[in-house]
Amino acid sequence: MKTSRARCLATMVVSVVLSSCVIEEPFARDNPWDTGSDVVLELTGPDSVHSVGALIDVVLSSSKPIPPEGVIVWKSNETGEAGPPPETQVFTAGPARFVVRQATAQYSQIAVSAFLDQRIVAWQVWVGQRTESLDLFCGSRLAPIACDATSMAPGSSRIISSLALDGNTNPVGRMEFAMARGTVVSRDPSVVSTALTQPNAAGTVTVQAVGAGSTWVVMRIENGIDSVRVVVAP
Amino acid sequence: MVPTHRPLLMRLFPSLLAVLACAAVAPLGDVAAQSSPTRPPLRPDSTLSPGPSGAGFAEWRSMIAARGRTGASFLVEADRYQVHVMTPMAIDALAQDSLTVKATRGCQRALSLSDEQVEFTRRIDPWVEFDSASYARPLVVLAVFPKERRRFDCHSGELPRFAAMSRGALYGLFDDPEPRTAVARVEVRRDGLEEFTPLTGRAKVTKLTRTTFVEDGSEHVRVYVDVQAFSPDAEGKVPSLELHVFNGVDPEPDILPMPDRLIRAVWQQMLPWQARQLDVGDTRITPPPLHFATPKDSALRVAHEAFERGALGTAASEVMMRLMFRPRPDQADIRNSMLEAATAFTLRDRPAEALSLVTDVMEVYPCLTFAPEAPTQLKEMAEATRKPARCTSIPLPIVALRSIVPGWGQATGPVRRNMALGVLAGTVASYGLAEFFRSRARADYERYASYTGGTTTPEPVESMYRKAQTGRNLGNAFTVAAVTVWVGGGVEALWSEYQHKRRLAEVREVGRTRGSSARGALALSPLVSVGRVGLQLRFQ
Repeated sequence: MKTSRARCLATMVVSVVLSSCVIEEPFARDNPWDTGSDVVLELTGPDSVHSVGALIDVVLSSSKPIPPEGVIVWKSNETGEAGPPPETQVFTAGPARFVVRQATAQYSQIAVSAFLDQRIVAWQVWVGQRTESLDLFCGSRLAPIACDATSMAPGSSRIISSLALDGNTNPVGRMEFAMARGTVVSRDPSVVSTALTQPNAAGTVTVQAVGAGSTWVVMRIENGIDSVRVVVAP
Repeated sequence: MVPTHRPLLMRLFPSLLAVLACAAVAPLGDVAAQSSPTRPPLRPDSTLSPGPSGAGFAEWRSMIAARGRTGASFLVEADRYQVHVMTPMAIDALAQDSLTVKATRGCQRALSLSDEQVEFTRRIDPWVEFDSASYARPLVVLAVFPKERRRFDCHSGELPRFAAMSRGALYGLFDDPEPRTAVARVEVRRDGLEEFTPLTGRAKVTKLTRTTFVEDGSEHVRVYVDVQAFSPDAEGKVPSLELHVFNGVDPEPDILPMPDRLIRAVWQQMLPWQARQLDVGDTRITPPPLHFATPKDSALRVAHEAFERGALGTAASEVMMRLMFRPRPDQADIRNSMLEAATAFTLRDRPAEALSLVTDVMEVYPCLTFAPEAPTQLKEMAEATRKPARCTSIPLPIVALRSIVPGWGQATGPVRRNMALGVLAGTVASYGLAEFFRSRARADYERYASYTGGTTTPEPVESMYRKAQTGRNLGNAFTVAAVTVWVGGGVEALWSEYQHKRRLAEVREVGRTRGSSARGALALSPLVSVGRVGLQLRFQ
């Protein structure tokens, strides 16, 4: 009886001491702000935006929940860069939100980022202007005239102007890139030819009279399409 | 380097400045001063005869010297003086000129001495005539020197140093000689009474200092005293031995007490000669009442056989002579042989010598008990010299159980108290440190885990983690250390107790007769009985 009690006591003492003598595992390295942590951070958002004023909403996902009071600094390409501002500018518009301040028809890849101290998570967005509406006219923008109001003599050429707008009705810049993505055709090439038309920053179309008659010149850029009637008189 | 055996006693006194030494041979240099009536002479006035107790000593001594270096000399340092104590064997061992040259050569660089000066020390030997005059008698030499201001320990070992000292050569820095530090006369007093000194003498001190030898008139004095001056009293106690050193100016002498262990060591060294004397005038065969195990050492086995057939003098002498030389026999052989010698001395009515041996044995084996057949006197000696010790064993399961508390397994007696406290302190300290680092690591990790950016602290979050993890690693390391000390302490306690138990069994009722000594052993013997023939295995 006495022996068994002693054994029991000894076992208890040994158990207590041994339980406090365990080798502890390494601490989990799971602070999202730690550059060496095992936490996987990912920023996702739209692949591309197509107009000035468009918003870019991104989502920061983490393998470990990020506390709401955590300090995250959102950055894009608008700050801290020396030299002239880029033609494409994306500004921070709040947590996980950015806005396109400036863009052209030339698409650029812009990084939007979340800074957790020294840890940076970024998302690449293609930013540019996509033509949503198109208007063709002759004369100037301030005093447009109908192109078939006066006829062309065979062999002469005429310039047709265009006005392209993006989804937010902002004029599209750098039209040569937009025109490169578009087409200009003559319905009757025996009357006028569009062969002289080259993509250009002003977005103009050059047509040349070939033979007597009348026909339509059609211009299509992305979602914008317009046409004008041209008359050639001998 | 010290080619002597270290008898049991010597092993017990490692702190003594003990060295085998050799005295030297060289003509005495210029003897300028004449001895005054109160001062010891510069030359021996007579050659000592062996005397009644020294018959055959010269032959025995030369035989020992031929076998190899043995004996030890000792240095006792006081405020103004130092005493070099040499037995005859030590004098013989220190006698080679090469040792003195070796000592000087060792100091050649430190003292900037030339090769000629080094070689010259070969010729320093003022005591050759005294040693020659005292050769035939067992006398112990006490040489008293004035002390150096600063001694240079540049000799190539203790042996050359003592060899040089035996010739009066000192190495170091010296004060100018003063009458108060000069050694004029020395008296040896045993228990307050002046001992007769058959021979005294003085000689100059050769001081080897930087670049030169100094002979400034300083002298040292030797007194030759009979070895019996070192013998224990009737109760086995070490006598009080003092040197009274007079300087010629002060009326009162400087009193230099000789350490007890030195006295015992000198007596121990002379025991082989005492044993030799046993058979002088008493060569009877005395069957011994005790029987010890046959030793493994061949020389001790010869002594053992002599003991068994009752030639006690031969046995004791052989034992003591064997123990003078290396290699050291097995520990059990030493113990049993010393007990055989002690038995021989007891049976030949030489209790002082027997007691000296028993004391030495009991110092190492305080739990030793003799068999009932042992002479009463021997048993009384063992009881008288027994030191407090734990002579019981604790069952190993109990020791294992006790070891659960760190250090308690070691806490079996006063001798192991430090060990017990060490294990306890080591375990507790390691565990405490482990807990400290762990708790600090937890606090650091809390800080790390609660960090939510914005650099609110000057410390980067990465270093917070590293700090926490380092703390945890340290905590783990100290935990391992604590467990190691704890478990190791337990194992050590078990092993120690097991050894203790074995040692107790070894020294319980030593010397039992052959018939009874087989207890606890397995015996294989032929078995022939009615209807059965074979072998029987018995556990006794």
